[in-house]
Amino acid sequence: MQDLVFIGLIVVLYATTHALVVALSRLGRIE
Amino acid sequence: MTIAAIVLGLAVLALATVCGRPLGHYIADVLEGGATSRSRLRFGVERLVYRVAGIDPERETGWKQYAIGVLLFSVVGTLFVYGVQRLQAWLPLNPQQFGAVTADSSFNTAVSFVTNTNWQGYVGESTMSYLTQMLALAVQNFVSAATGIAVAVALIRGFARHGAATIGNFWVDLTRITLYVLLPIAAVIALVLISQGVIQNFDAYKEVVAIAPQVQSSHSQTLAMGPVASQEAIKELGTNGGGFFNANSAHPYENPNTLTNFIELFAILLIPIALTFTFGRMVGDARQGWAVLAGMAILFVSMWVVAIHFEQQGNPIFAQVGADAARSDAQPGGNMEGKEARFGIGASALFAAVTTATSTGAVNSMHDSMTPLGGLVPMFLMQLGEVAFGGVGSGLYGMLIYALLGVFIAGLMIGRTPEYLGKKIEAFDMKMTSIAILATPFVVLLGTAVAVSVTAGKVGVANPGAHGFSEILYAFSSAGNNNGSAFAGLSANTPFYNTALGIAMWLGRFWVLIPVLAIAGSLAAKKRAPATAGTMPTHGPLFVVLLIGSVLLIGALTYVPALALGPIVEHLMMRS
Repeated sequence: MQDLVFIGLIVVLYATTHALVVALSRLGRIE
Repeated sequence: MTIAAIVLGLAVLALATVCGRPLGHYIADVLEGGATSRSRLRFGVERLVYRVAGIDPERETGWKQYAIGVLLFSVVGTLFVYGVQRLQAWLPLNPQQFGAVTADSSFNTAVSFVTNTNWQGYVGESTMSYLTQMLALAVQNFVSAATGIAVAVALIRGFARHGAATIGNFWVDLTRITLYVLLPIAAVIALVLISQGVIQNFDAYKEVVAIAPQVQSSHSQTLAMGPVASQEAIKELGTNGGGFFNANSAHPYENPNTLTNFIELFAILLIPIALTFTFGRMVGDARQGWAVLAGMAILFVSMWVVAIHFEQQGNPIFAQVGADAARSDAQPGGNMEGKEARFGIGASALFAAVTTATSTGAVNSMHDSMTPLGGLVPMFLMQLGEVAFGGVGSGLYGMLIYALLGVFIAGLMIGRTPEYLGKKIEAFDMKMTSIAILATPFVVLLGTAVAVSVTAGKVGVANPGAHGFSEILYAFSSAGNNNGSAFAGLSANTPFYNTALGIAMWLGRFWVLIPVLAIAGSLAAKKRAPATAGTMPTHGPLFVVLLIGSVLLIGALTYVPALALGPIVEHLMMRS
């Protein structure tokens, strides 16, 4: 159970950072 | 302040600069493909890696694909390191039969080593099997360092190229830096360290009879063994800092004598300094690299001498109670608490400054035992973003971000569009610069605020009051800036700190690195504007002052209020 929590946390950290890449990429195209 | 301490510091700086210049040029040649054409063997090894990994080395990418490559590589590495720790009890090379590392500690350590932080909430010699130390931790020491260098080089390409849609191929950069730069130099350093007494074996721990009786009248002592030298070399070279043993470079099997101490200091500074020459070479103007190096060196020296001064002054309360703390032929004087007698105050204060000015985090003394203002120096060096000289790659790209901020401020003052190396710095670049500069303080200050507000954060503090606050602030400064050194005194191997510091390390690494790559992509696409009479030169003293001013301005505005609650209050209490 604990493993699921921390593996999930790693995936969430990855996903939010990937979202940052996408957001900055779109911002770059707009500007 | 002793002459010997100053000479030691200047000698290691001079040697790292002398050796850093050819190394920097070599790194530039390796990454632009020049050096590899001379060797069929190197080409062969490289091609084999690409074939196995399914990489097309001829295909370059834009910044977004480069960033996704960095992220994917890092998340897979994090999951792998996590898994090895959790499964180590069933894996080989575990003579002490250590069980699985706890889930929260495994998470913290996995993020820590993948982000080049190497914060260690665990005790290495009583937690990690040899396989975990080598396969999980030491491998990440290499590839996390290579990732940092790759990102710095991608940013340099952004300055060097014009009208380009690509900034390189992350997988090629990663492979070349690991194969041609980190592995060979680390192998040489490991052999030198072995010659000086650093151990390298797979033996079970040894029970020995101590010469003098130990605590509880026991004459028995356990000596931890292991493949230390191979990890020690890359620990310093890659500015990682994670020790094989809990005592890190204060342990005699990691750092036996003054020569190994000098070698380790040299290894820490070598690549961060070399990369300034790589920068000069790749942008086609060596003076640009020298200017950045000058800014780094001035910042470092000015902070380092402050640390030596306060450590040599020691604690005034000693004099009040009649203790002789003056320096003499019979004793070093000053503050020797937490320091190894074989290194003394000078080499310990220098190591503390070097390890926090870079993103290393290795220690040869306990920073928690430093005087309040002596301890403020390593903390502030981290909070400045570790840009003098910084971690491998992260130091250079951090400093170049400050250079962009500096020319932007100068542009505002003189009413001209800011330019750096012929590239106009526009709104998008400044937005990315702002994110890169503010992400870390956000993580550090918010993390500290949460930790001092909740019970789970406060129970880890053994020294309540100003010093306890310093310990928490130091922990988040270290994690958020990917340093990894600890003030100690804080019980951080708890679910709260392992999770909070793990998140801080991840955000501190990637929420800086991603906007840096976005700047690289933006700059690479721009045309180079010809220099005119109105262009501010970025290779002279004025630019160096501007660069240092930008770093100090941001650092002071962001962190001085927090520092006032910790080390500054403690200093005033000690003096009153």
